[in-house]
Parts: sequence; structure tokens; C-alpha cells
Amino acid sequence: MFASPALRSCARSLRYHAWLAVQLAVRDIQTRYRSTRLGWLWAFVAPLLMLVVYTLTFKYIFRVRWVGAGDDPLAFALHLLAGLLVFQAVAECWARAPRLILEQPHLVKKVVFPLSLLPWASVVNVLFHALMSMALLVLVAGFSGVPLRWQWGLLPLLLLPLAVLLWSSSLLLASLGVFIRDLPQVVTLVVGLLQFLSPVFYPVSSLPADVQGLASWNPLTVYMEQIRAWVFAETQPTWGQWSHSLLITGVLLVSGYALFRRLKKGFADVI
Amino acid sequence: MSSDMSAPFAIQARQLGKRYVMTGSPYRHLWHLLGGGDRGIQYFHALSGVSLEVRKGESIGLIGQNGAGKSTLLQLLCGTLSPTQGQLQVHGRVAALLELGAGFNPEFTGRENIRFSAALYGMDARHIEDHIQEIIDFADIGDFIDQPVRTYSSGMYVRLAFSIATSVQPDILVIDEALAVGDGLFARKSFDRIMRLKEQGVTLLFCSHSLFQVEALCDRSVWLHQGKVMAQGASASVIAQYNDWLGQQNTVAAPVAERAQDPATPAPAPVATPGQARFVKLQARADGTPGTELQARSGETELSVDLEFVSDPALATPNLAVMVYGADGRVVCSTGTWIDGFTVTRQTDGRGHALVSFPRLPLLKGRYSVAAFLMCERALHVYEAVEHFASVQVSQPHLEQGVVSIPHQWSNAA
Repeated sequence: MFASPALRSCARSLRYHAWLAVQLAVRDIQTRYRSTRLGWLWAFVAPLLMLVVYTLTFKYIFRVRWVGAGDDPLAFALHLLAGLLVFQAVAECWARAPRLILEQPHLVKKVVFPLSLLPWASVVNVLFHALMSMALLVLVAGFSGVPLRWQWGLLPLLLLPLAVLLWSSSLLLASLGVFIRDLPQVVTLVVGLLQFLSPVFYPVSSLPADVQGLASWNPLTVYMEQIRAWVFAETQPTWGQWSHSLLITGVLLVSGYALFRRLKKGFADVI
Repeated sequence: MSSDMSAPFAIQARQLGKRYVMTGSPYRHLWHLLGGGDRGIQYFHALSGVSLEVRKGESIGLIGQNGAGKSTLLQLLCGTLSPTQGQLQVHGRVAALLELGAGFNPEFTGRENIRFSAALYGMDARHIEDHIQEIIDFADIGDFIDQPVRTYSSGMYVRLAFSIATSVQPDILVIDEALAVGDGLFARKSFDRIMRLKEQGVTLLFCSHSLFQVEALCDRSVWLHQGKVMAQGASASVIAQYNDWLGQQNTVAAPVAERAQDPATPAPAPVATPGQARFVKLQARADGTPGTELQARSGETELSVDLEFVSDPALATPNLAVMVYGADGRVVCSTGTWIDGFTVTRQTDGRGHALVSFPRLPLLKGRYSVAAFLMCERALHVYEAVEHFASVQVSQPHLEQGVVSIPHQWSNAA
């Protein structure tokens, strides 16, 4: 085997898989908006409506304040959106993950299909919506008087490590989900808990000092904090916090892929 | 893939085995996959110890009865199943005509499904755009191409799927009984396309019950029985062995029928199944010599066929037909009782025995295959079709060209 054809074929296979993943994701998103009136606009309109609802809720009903953000209800809603866009991406991805492979019997049994792409499609799908929410976040922030910052342009970069985290965890859940049919119930429960265990409704800085250290082991924490830091010029998460999150991502990546490789040959027998 | 171009083999299989899980909960299975024991899991061995080497550009036929493991083997070669034993190496892109249209999404249009399926076969985006029109033209389903495929008829579905599978420039084409796709015209078109791929050096794996097609299409054949290779080698010889074996299977049943015929035996209800009809015995003879490999001389030998059947006496008397195929699988001639206005006599117990003969056989030099059909009184429904139960090797003393000598007369115009 010579290096150059092998490399070429490897590059071709990578390009092809990337293309296929995007194709799958586009199909996923198309399915969601097919024959809706607004079509793709929904990806933008849905978070906008959510922002409006939250703003009104916190202005007239709850009247809570974001620690360190004054008592402007819009500011509260924007801080919330920064955390929610990450949480929703993760929640949707994980909620679908256990059934990703299980629900595609023909891709498992009838055609040759790189099954590890199924989570990619789901990841690209949710991250596309996260990106739309980010755009909305900076747009509304800009209009509401938050000073423009060049760091806003960095926001999409966060999606890259998040993509790896989501893909690894989805692959893990999808592989196990084929065998463990109770998994969706468990995941729903965990995701519900996660909404409160992650700094969606509060900044990490508002937690007691000894809990703050623990919070960084939740791999989602840094993403939420980083978005707020960049958008509203607040405290940056530390490198230590980032390393915790990335370490967990790495562990998930290795274990998720290894488990998938191991369980793959049994899929056709149980589906 | 490209680094394997120098390898002479398209497929190399060593001691291939596949077992399916019959029963066992998913949890037990997970436990087993993670390294635990396999208590509570029952297996079914679909294939065992299959070794096979296929050279690039070769055509291999796969024959055997239902449940012999043919489909499992094809699926292993396609990569949709993974073997539980042995080693398998497949070099090149495999396109499979197994489950046509398995990857289609019913909500998407034909065009969208082409892009998607072609990508599954490993075509890149640019290549797909270059070939999409060609795929659409071949499928020939008109404006439906931009409609969701759930609106397609089954014929259109299959045509589109076939067109995609054969347009992706496969190195190996796997065909499972899919030769006769759609209506007559498309079936012809698809056959031509498969032949063209074969000529272009595509490795062909063909699985069919139509032994004659296998023999016509494939250089070598593999006969599978209960998951094991019974014979492999030149198609003609493997098929002959298979036929002999099939014949033995039939002779086991035949004495039962003959005993029933014996008037001394107090009619242990002849084998007529309600609502059914089947052949009891088929025999071809050349000048009175019976056999499955007949020798005949053009214009001299009398070819005759004995057809014994049993049918439910409650049914109307069935029709019989005999068909003769040429070496290319084309029907050369046929005859049917309803065409000739001949009424088959049937006994009260549902048994019947008819004979058709072709005196001074007008077939010209070549190899022919004989098939028999047992059909309903309107000759629409086929109760039983027995393909290729005998072959006839015709020799001729002169140089007349063609397949058949039709009656003719020369005269001098005044």
C-alpha cells in the first residue's frame, strides 16, 4: 500500500462522510419544516418568540433579576437565552439519541451505511438551530444597547467542541439504545435534571464557592458561561474549567466510539 | 479502495460463517457483546464454512433452494451483515440489487432520493450531479421524478432504484432475482444494462432460481445447501449436479404418486391438495430415450414430453404448457393445451397424464432448455412452473443458420 493513494482515499472518504452528514442533516431540517408556511425562518422565529415570552414573564410575573445584570427584564431574557440555546441543543440531541439507530432498521439491515453518521446529522441539525439562536442573541443584544464587541464573532467557534461532545455522547446513547429500550426514559429524566444543574437560570458565580468547583465538571457549564462572557463582557471561565469540560468530552469520545465499534455487529440481531 | 486495484480478486472469503440470534432478550445480547457469556441466547446457523474466491470481472452464480443461505451470503458480501466466523475481503464498490429502494425516504421526491441513495453508494456530490439526468432518463418515470416517492407505483419505485444502483459505477454488482424489473420493455432495458456492465468488467454475483439464466450469465456457480457449499465450479457442471440432486429429491416423492396409481392399493387419497395442482412427474425423451440431458438431431429426432399431474378434482381441468428456451434464455417456441384446443383428460381422483411430441424436431444446432407449466383453466394463473427440467443438445448435419427451421418450399417461378 503506497502512502499517497491511501491518503487520497482516506481524504476522499472523509470528504464523502462529511458531505453525507450534511446531506442527512439538511434532510432532517427539511423534514421538520416541510410544508410549513415559514419554512426555514422558523429556526429564527422560534427562539425570537421564546425571547419575547421570557421577557414578558420576567417583567410582569416572576420579577426575578439576573445577578449583576440590573433589573432589565430583556437583559434577563438574553442571559437566559445564552444558556438555553446550549441546553436546548443538548436536550434535543440527547432526547433523540437513544432511538437514532433503533429507528432506522433499513439502514442497519438493508444497505451499507456508516451508522456513526446518524448522530452527526442530529448534531448538525441542533447546532444549526443553536447558531440561529446565537445570531438572534447578538442581534437583540446589539439593538437593546449592549456594547458591540469583536468577541461576538467568536461565538460560532464554540460549536466545534460542542459538536464533538454531542456526537460522542449521542453515539454512546444510540449504541446502547439499541439494546436498552428503557434508555429514552432515563435520558428524559437526566435532561430534566440537567436544566437545573447547569447554569441556565443563574451564573456559576452566584453559587456557593465550594459548589462552583463542582459545576465545572458539568461539560455544558463552560459553554453557557463563555457565551455570556463574550456577549455581555462578563467574567471569562477559567482554563481549568475549560479543561474539565474538554476532558469529559475526550472520555466520551473514546468510550462512545469504542462502545459503538463493539456493539455494532449486534445491531442487526436485535433490531 | 484505489490501492487494491492491482489485486486480482474482487472477493475473497475464507471459512465464512453467519449465525443469527433466534431468541434472547436485548439485555442478554448486550451482556454478551460486552464480553459476558451467551446464556439464554439461541442461534441459527445460516452459513458455515463458506470459502469463495471471485476474480475481478468474473460472473458468479449462486444457486440453491430457499433457505439455503444465498441471501445471507449476498448480504455478507454487500456488507449489510457482518460474518460471525471467518474472513471476508471485498475490493471495490458494491452495488446491490437486493432490496430495491430500501434507502428511499417516502416523503422526498425521486430527485432528492437519487442524491441521497447515490451518496449511500459512495458517489460524491459532483459525480451525482453529472449523472443525475442519466439516472432520471433511464428510470423513465416522467414528471413523477419531482413528486414524493410515496406517490409512486411499485413499478416506478423499482425502476428508479434499479437505475440508481446500476448508475453508480459499481465494481461489483450483486443481483438477487431482480433481473425481471418492471414491465417487459424495462425488463429488457435492465437486462441489457446488466450485460453491458458485465462486458465493462464489472464483477457479477447473481442469485436466481432460474438456473438457465444463471448458466447463461455466469462462468462459475456456487451451490449452497443448508448454509454449506455443496459444489462450486463451472456453471454447467454445478447446475447439472444441482439438477441431479433436485431430481433425486423428486424421485423420493414420485413413488408415493405411483403407489396411488396402483389400483390394488385402496386409493390412499391421491396427493391432490385442495385448491392446488402440481406436477407428479415430468420426463423428456428423445426418440424414446428418457433423460435430463438429451441428444437430438435436427429434423430427425422426435422430442416428446410426458406430463403427469394431480389437481384438486374440485377445480376445473388444468391446462398444460411446454416451453423451449434457447441458450440465451429467450423463448424459442412454446405450446399450450389451450392454444392447440386440446382437452386434457383427468381421472376422477384428479390425476392426469398427457404427452406432447415434436416430431422431426425443427430446432437447429444449439443447446435448448425445456420448461413445463401447469396452469389454471383460463391459462392465467400458474400452479406450478418447472424451469429447465431437461436440456436438449441439438446437432445438425447441414449448415442451415438460425434457431429453428420453419416449413418452407422452393419453386421455380414460371
